[in-house]
Amino acid sequence: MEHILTPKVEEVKLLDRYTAKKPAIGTLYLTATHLIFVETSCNTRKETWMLHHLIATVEKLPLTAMGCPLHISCKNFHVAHFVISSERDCQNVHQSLVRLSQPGKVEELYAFLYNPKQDEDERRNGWGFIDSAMDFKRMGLPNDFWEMTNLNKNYELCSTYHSELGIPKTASKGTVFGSAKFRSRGRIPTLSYYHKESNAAICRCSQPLSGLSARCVEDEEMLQAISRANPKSTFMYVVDTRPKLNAMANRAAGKGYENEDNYSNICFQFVGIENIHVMRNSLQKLLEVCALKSPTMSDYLTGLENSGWLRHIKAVMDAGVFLAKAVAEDKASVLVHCSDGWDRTAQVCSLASILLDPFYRTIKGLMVLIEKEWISMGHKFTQRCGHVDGDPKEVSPVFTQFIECLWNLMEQYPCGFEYNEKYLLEIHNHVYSCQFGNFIGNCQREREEMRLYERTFSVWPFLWENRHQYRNPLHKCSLGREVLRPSTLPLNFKFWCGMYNHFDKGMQPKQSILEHLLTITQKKAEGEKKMTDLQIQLAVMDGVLADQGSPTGTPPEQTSLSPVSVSHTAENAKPLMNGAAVEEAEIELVPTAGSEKMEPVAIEN
Amino acid sequence: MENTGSIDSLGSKRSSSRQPSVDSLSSTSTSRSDRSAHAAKPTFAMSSDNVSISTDFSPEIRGRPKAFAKVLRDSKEEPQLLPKESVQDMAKDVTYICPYIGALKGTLTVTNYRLFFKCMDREPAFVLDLPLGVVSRVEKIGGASSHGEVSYGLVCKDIRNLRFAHKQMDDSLRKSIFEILMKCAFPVSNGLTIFAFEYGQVYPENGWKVYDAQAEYKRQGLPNESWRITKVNDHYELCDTYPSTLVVPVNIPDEELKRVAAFRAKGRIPVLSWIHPESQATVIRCSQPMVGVNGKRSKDDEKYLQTIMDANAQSHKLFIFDARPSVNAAANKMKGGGYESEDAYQNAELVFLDIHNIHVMRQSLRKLKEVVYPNIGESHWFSNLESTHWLEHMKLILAGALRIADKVESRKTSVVVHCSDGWDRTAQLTSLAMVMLDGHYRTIRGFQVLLEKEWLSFGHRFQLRIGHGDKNHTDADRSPVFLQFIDCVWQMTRQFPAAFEFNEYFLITILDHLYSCLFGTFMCNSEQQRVKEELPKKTVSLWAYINSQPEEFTNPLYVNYSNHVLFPVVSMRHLELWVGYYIRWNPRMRPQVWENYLTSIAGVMKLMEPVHQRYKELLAKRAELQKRIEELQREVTNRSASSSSERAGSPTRSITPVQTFV
Repeated sequence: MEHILTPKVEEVKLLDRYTAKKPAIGTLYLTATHLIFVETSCNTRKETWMLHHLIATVEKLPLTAMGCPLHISCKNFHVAHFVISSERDCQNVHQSLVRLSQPGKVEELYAFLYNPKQDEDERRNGWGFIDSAMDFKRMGLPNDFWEMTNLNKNYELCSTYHSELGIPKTASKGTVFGSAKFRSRGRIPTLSYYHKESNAAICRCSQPLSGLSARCVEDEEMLQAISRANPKSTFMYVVDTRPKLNAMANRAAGKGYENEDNYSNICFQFVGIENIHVMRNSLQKLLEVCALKSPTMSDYLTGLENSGWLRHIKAVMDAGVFLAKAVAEDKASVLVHCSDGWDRTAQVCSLASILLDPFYRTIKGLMVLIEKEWISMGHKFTQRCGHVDGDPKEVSPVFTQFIECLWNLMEQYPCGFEYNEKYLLEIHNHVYSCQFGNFIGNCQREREEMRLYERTFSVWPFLWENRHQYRNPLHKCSLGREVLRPSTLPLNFKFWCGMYNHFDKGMQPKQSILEHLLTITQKKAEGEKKMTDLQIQLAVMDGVLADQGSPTGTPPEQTSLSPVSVSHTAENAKPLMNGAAVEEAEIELVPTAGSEKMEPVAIEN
Repeated sequence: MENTGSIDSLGSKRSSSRQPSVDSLSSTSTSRSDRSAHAAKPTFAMSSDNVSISTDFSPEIRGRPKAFAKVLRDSKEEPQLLPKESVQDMAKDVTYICPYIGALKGTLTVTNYRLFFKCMDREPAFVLDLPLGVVSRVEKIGGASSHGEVSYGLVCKDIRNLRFAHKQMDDSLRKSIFEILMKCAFPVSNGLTIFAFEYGQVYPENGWKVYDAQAEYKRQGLPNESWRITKVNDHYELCDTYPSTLVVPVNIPDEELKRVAAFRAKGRIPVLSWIHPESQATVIRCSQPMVGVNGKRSKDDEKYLQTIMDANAQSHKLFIFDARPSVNAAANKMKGGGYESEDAYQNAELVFLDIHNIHVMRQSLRKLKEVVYPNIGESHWFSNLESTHWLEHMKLILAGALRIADKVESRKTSVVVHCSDGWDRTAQLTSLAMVMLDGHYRTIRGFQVLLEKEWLSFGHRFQLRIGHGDKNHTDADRSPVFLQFIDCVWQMTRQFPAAFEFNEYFLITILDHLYSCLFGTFMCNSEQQRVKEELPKKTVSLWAYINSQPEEFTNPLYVNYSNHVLFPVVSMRHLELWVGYYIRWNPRMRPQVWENYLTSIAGVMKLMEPVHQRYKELLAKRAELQKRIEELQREVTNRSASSSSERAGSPTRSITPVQTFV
């Protein structure tokens, strides 16, 4: 609290980012955890909440005639342009936010304050809700070829890996430890996904310390063991997700990639995904295009292309498709790595798993996948998301890209996923918001050291409870059987308005099919309930069921009807003009006929 | 064997007469190619007669009885002919060079309506079936090659090119099938009859009756105290490119109209297209005024526009939207045309909408085709797309229509819209604005009325813009003006997925039959010509076909928002390339399909619309549920009524009637 200089500022204007609409006027509050803007200019109370930890940048612009502009942009791409009349107030708010948005240490994060009124048991059960070890069982492990070991029990083998690792049965302890010495940060080849149908496996690791000519017998044995664990295949793929040039540069530093001559029966392949720095800069450029007020076609399309963002998304997807194809069609095992094996490798392995296995296209399956491939295998969430004040060069939207790849897949397979876009956005939001402990820390060991499981809550049970919101009404299980083979033509990668303009109401589609469908499914559920009620009622009349003591004067169907009729009117009255109109209408229920006098959102010129 | 693609396409009407129930079943199928297949009668697609459809279609909806399919399968290498369709030539061992799967050897058949290629070497057989009307140009590529083969290229109007090769004829006296093709593809140039005049299919409804000008104006509340329907153009004497029924201000007698006509290009005077049911603000269309270099004025024209403004008591202003870029409008003065000067027209404000002319649009579409057909480059997609400017044109057209709709709806001001002749850009703008303003035009029948009215009756020159049956493919009068309009409508359906009664397939079907020459709808350039050619008597209307199976074209998401005005966002961010139309020949576009394509080597992409399919299922389930509830409710009511009569004196229960779900 000591950082809050001015807890409340009145007469603050909130400008629309894209249109010259009249700004909203209201009061700005700073609390210990949130910035809250309460609109006073309209009759309905409208609040905008921003979690301090979500704020990526806060910028105070020079004083203008209107007042002092304060631009805030968040990690979930929420952008707000405030104008505060007093420069001094603006200065104070700015100073507070700068400090509050960058906690010095992990313990200041929201998750350590957040208390959803659960007791210890619930907390413990919550953390046990998703167990990645169970997923290996689901894949049929251990089996004749693979086993789960606890060689990494005390994180001695590899400090950034999970304590339980899947390795080939034939690999001896000596092989494993020897291989660890030859892999950057000891990140040995370990099982990521086992494809029961083909016996082929996806394994992940970090780059070998091959330098210009170094070899390691144990590492070669390790790969041999992985290859042999798939007896029907005569070879395995080794995929380096980096561009060849980057991998070669690493050789000079004593790292590098596998030499096909030294390893028997491997097929080596680069897939050319750029590093975290390129991705960070690319996102920056994308956001600049996104911020254009009314871009011309050439500004927009050239800007989109020059940002390279969608090209990078495509590269990740291409790599995922390559892996899935290798496993499902060539029935060959694949070993994947990048440099450290915690960014691109995580993206590619998890994407391939989704393409191969319908389980990961379910609500729970995605939780398992993220837990398994990202959290337990040491994706450095604290650093990549910039949770605490640290090296800005370590920040990169690696996880965002994975989620975006997933969204693109969902666009191509509208019936293939149990979850909807909201689910992706919600997960993405939680990764950055630190309301829950899951995405704090860079690896499993760190999380244990921080005692996160005792001090914070897990997000998964929370999401599970709200799963009805995240369900895709179009989902069809029968579709989920097959391996997905998405098209990766460049035109299939679209700008994700739902993510980057999520908070800009006017930029959202006027009518959302998803919302529409969710309403229908909800009504269906209501109808089903009503049917049951009526059936019971009939049964009671027939004397089959005992009257449950409901007084005869109050027919039960009346109560069960009322919610339906209410939502019925609400839907009818919903106009479909611009975003603002819809927003208001949700509260005011504007009557339909001829009363819509909305200004078009964007008559651009 | 069910799930037939092209096969049901061929003469599905006949099949329906034999097996009506079957046809109604198949009509609910949603795979696009499937639809294009039946739609087709004339198939528009390269298609296979037996593409296995992946499991996401419930079989009970899409299946056809096996026996029926089998009959068709035995149809060998020839197409199922339509009534009055006759085979003109047939050649074996012709190679079709498919850009996606390579060379295919098969039999090519040319009829007076279609080109039909079938390769039996594959299982299932590969079929390419397209109406000759789609062909824009046939060219012989190179001379005889070393293998003694000649190669022919077909440039098509629907964003694809086809390539064939076959052995040089030994017998030089016999005409090659491609010479026959060139003759049949361009009946107008070769003194033959366009197939639409032969096609004698009978549909339950006469599609020519869909539009009745009087009835449509009556729907709008016309005539009223300010507007009257004039007979002055009954014999197309005032203006030969206008319809016979025109709505003009009450105070202007026909004599004055003639003087106004003298001042407007081609006599296309300002007339009413649409009137706001409440504010009485109107959308007026016309051609440019004949101002010329000397700034000629016409008192009659000025008075006329003033009267139009006065007819709307709500506003003391009139907006004149000139669709052209101001430079072009000014250049027209050299040719005697021009635009209204604000000095001459008091209270009028002139706005230029910067929409380019037909030649720019033609070039833009040509570039777009280069970018998307046959393959799309792996890199520089956005800059390639940008270089076509196609989306920019789309944006300008939509933005123009939006401004018109906004003036009418929000400012209650009447607007006058024109370009040069008032039959291209003007038609785009008025019809789009009307789609935004009036929910009626967003229904299947309403949209037909809109096309009949704003495009056909007001003389959009379809014959010239499309070049039906004309071999002169370089004709500068050809232009994709109508395609752009349909594209704009599609863009709106993307933003308002529940506001349109029709689906994407409806729009694609209209475009397919724009070229097919199967129906008379898009023949000729004006109402006068259509009357003279007796089109309603000699040809079938596209609407007869569409309205015979409306469920095919119905958007399951549709909710009747007829009282709402749609204001789409015309920002670049919200416009996208209509992949389902421009890139539909590329099987890689639909991943679900690609595999089928490769394994079954179907020429067609089996476009899936799983979303709509699933949506329909949901709706069906809900309807069923609701029915069940109603039944139960009735039972409850009955019983409680009887029980309450038994228990005399107890208060009667008020049972709320079941709500209708929306």
